[in-house]
Order: sequence, then C-alpha cells, then structure tokens
Amino acid sequence: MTLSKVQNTDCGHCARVVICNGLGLHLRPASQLVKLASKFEQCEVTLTKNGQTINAKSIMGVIMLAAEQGSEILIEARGDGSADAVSSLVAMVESGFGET
Amino acid sequence: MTGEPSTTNAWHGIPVSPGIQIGKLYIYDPAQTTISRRFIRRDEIELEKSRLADALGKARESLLELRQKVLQSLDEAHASIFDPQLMLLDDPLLLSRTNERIEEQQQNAAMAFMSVIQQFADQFASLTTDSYIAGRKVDIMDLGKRVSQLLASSDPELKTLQFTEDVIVLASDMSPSDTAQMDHQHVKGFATELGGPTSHSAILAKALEIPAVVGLGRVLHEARQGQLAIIDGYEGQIIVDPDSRELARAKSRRRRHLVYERELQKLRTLPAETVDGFRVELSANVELPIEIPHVLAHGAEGVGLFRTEFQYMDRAGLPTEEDLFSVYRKVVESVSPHPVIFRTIDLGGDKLSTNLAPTREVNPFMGLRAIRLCLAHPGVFKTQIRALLRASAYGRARIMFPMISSVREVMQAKAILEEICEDLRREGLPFDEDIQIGIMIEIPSAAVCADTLAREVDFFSIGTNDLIQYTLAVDRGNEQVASLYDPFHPAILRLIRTTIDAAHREGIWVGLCGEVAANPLCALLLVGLGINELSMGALAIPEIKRLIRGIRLADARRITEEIYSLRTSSDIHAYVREAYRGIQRQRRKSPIVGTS
Repeated sequence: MTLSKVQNTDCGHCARVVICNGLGLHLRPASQLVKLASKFEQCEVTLTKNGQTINAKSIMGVIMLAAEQGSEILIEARGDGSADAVSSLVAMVESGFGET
Repeated sequence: MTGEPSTTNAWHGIPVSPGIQIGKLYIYDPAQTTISRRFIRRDEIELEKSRLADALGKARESLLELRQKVLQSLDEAHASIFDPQLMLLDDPLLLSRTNERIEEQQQNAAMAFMSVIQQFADQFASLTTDSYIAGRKVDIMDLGKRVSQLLASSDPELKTLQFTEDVIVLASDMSPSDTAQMDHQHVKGFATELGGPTSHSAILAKALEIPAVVGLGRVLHEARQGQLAIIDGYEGQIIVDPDSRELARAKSRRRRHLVYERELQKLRTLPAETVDGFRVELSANVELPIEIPHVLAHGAEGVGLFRTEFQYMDRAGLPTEEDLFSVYRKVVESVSPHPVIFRTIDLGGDKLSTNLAPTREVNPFMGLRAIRLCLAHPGVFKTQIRALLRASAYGRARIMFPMISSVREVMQAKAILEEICEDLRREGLPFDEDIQIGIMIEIPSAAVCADTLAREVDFFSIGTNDLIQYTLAVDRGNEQVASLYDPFHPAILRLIRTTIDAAHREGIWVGLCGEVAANPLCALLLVGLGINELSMGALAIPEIKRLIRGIRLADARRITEEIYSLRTSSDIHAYVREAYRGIQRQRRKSPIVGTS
C-alpha cells in the first residue's frame, strides 16, 4: 500500500495509515497502540486525524481521537528510533490489531 | 409476604440479598467527597507537584494490590476490571495537564487533578455511543476519587469507608473498588439507587450474606447522614427514619425469618423427596462463579443453569479458549460430585462487543441470538465448546443449547460438537466421552415438537421465562402488557405437559430452569407432571424442598389432572392454591424435617 510508506521528516519519520479493523481505535486496540508507542522511550510519537494531533502514548488522547474504521491517520515520530516506531505502529494498525 | 406499610419514607427497589437489618445510614456519595480545594502560593508549586507524583505512585500500588486480591479470590476476568484504571494512571496527558494547572493556575494538586479527571470523564462519555467505552467513565471517576483521597489522606475531614459502628450503606452506585474496600465488619446492608441483580454490590452482598436492595431510584437526596434506617432484603425496601411501629414490625419480621431460615437450613442435606418416595433434583441457577459456595450452602444438588454470558460482556474483544476453560474447570471442580449444566452463549450479537452483528435488529428477541448466532458464527461457538469439553474432564459437566426452535438446529449444533470431540481425541486432550447434551425448551415450536427433539438429546430443560413470553406474545419488560405474562395460562401448562410426557416416552429426563421453579404452587404442579429437576435461585431451594417433602406424588398428580379441565388461569390458580392449603392443613402437625 502506497499510503503507509514510511517517509523522512525534518527530525524523524511519518506515515499515513487507514484504520482497517472493524472496531476502530476502541479501548482494546487503543491500549495495544499506547503500549507499543510507550516502548519507544527516546521518541516523541503523535497521531493526527483531521488536524487534531495527540500524544500516542496517552490512552485518553488516542481514544479521544475517535478514529473509526476507514479513517486516515498520520503517525509521526521524532527522536531516536523514530523509523522503527513508525514502521511498527503501521504494521500493528494494518494487521487490524489481531481482530478476527 | 405481608401488606406494604403506608409510609412515605419507604423506597422500593430490587431485593438482591435477603435479610433485615436496622442501622444508621452511611450515605456514600463520591461526588460530594470533600476535596480540600484551594489555591496555592508560588513557592508551594513544587511541593504540590511532588505530592501529586507521590499520590499517583501510591494509587498504582493499591490498585495492583486490589487486582492481586481479586485474582486470588476470584479469577483473571474479575481482576482485569482494574486494568483500565492502571492504564489511565500511566497516561502522560493526565500528569502533564494536572501539572499545568498547578503551575499556571496555582491550584493545589487535589483540585487540579479532579478538574482534569472531570474533563476526561465528560469527554469520554460524550465521545461515543459505544456503551463499553462510555461505561469506562466510572473507571475514570473512580481513579479520580482514589487519587484525591490519597492526596488528602492527611486531612482528617475526609471520609473513608472505614466505620466504627454498624452502618447501612446508601449509595448511588458502587464501583468495584468501593465494594472490595468496604469495611465488611461494620457494613450491615447495602442499598443503591442504580444497579441490578448482577451488579458488583449485589453479588458481593449475596456472598457475604448481608441484606441488599438495588435499583431504588432517587433516594440519596431525601436521606441524611446518620439517620436510622431499616433495610429489608426480602421485600426490597428501605425505610428511613422509621417510627416505633415500623421498628417493632421490622424486629419481629427479622426474628421470624431467622427462626424460619434456621429450620430450613436443617433441610440442607436431606433429599427433595415426596412422602411417597418420588425424588426431584433441586439445583441452582448461577450467573457468576463467585456464587457457587453460597449456592451449595443452600443445599443445591448441582447447577441446573450456568449462564456463560458474563465472560463475553463488558469487555473488549472475545474471551480466548483458555479464559473460558479456566473458569469452566474451576466451576466444574467446585460443584463436583454434582453436575453443572452449562448453557452455551445466550446473547444477541450486539452484546458480544465484537462486530458479529453489524446491523441493528428491530426485534432482537426474535433475531440472530443464542444458538442462531452460534451457528452463524461457528468460530465463537467452537471456542466455547472446546473449552467446555476440556473442562468436562474435571468433574460432571453437561452442555445445553438455548433457543432451539427445530430439530435441524440440534443436529447442526451436535455436528459441530462431534467435530470438536474428534479434534480433542486426535490431540489427545481428555474430556468426558459420556457428557450429556441437552436443549432448552423455551420456544413454543420446540415444545410442540418435543417428541422428535427428545430423540436427539439426553435431557430437556424448560426455560419458562422465555416460553411464556414467546407463547403469549408478551414482553415482560413492557408494563402495558406485563400483566398478561402468566405462568398459569392453560397454554403454558399444556406445553409443559407435552414436553415432559414426550421426554419421558423417549426415556430422557426433564428439568425446568425458569422463575416458576421457585413458585411453590407451580412447583407442586410440576411435581405432579413428573418433572425430574428444578433449577432456581439458590435462596428458594430450602423452601421448595420443604414443600416437596411435605406432599405425596399421588396428591400432586390428582391436583394436576384436575387443572387441565379448567378454562382460565385464575380458576387454575385458585384451584391449586386451595388444594395446596388443604394439603398443608392435613400436614400442619408434622415437622418440616421428617424422616420419610
């Protein structure tokens, strides 16, 4: 998918993804995402949807983004390991959070 | 039992745990919890920030401790109710926003924290129509209260849930951690404005055997802290500031109930057998594993209906086979050597918190639910059947399919079951090869075709709650027609007779697991029809056992035969009531604990 290609930014990386799982960023997928983002301690990770940007390490932030199935979000990371952070988050979103 | 007192200081709710207690009210209103809000000086900012960090750390410790406690006494499913709060505690946004308020607006930590929590909770609740997410508002508020209590722990003004005298707790609702932290020594009753029979406080009260009434409606603002009150867990009533007449009545009722219950307890180990030797198995309906010790203590000879839905509700995603297996295994082991009938998922897809039911149904009661949902989504069903079969190796499990309307559905469900048995054999996993498979008879078509269904299964369980609703086309929840809901309707009694007779002709046993099992007059008729098992709320077991031990099968049969010539339910009801009184008069002198 061309949308989710990880790109370089000024001081990090970014990628656009479409939420594909049926529930959207419901509590369980949101908490999976927060846990993963929090692993990149040296990195600032944000999600942006419709111009609203939130900290990806905040469960409240992610849930308040209210990203439903089909919505497009921008994942950005700055700092050490930003390429890694973006690509692993993209992979998680695209896997549909293991939803069946 | 007796007439309602004509007082305006009485509130009625749902009785969830029996008993009568008199005590001082403790009104527990988290919204009113005194938070020492104040603005601070510039030089206090750092101190407040470190007090906040400290309180957050302590809150995490206490949550982990609570989680551990619940895990040890219950299971992972219950313990995980604390997880959303733990995750919130680690939210960087929570910390940064609170610190912002401390620094910029010079609010003290408690005030800043509660403001942020309130904002979060409001946003959360308004964000979505998804009840699972919206319901987490309770978790956020619970967390807010926990942390602000820690922040103010040095403040002697702040109320905690520790008591020095006996109290009746009156609350809007109780969160899981409120209930778990409650000082059980002094809490003699629970009463809540919200909540139903399966709310946390209801279940805990039942397990602790203290009276509880839920669903009282608006009462908190009508009562005052420390007022005397009577809680009546039989009638589901709370009387605030009772007069001397009401107090005397409560005391004498309490004495009578205690004597009566002590009598009934003596029946615990005796069988439910008529005077002329007809044996009925009395078992219990169970919602949550935590109820099992309580159920056995009331003399249940097994679980006649284990509702498996709780593991699917109020959670995100579906439970895994291991989640299910560990609970089923525990249940089977704790009830052993008695049997447990597990009813497979009896829900509509909307309750499953997955996307199994993408469309809203206009009439969910007649929609894709229970066995229909399971056959349409065999993956979910197979996981449950595997877990059930694996658990059957550890005691006596039985499997029951709900909402069967035709033989075809039974054959489909059995084919899936057989397939899984084959898998387990191949994998070398043990299970009970002779496990009994049964169905609920709760749809009129199943009762009518009971003869052909009986050839497919090992037992029937008549689910009267739904059978009555479907047969009479009455929604019990609709108060405009609720009065038409009637277990004594001739059509219901005919369907029940058809079902029992068909089962016996095919050599299988029949139970009944609706509310009518706990109704003495219905139980009398069912015995007369030759029912083999009655499953009910555990509290009713001693009473029904007493009834069965006091009658002859021959008398019950005679009464039952008579009712089929009567035309209206009121005639039937009156006839059975009179006939039963006659039996009681005859046997008045005989003790309830007879040696028959």
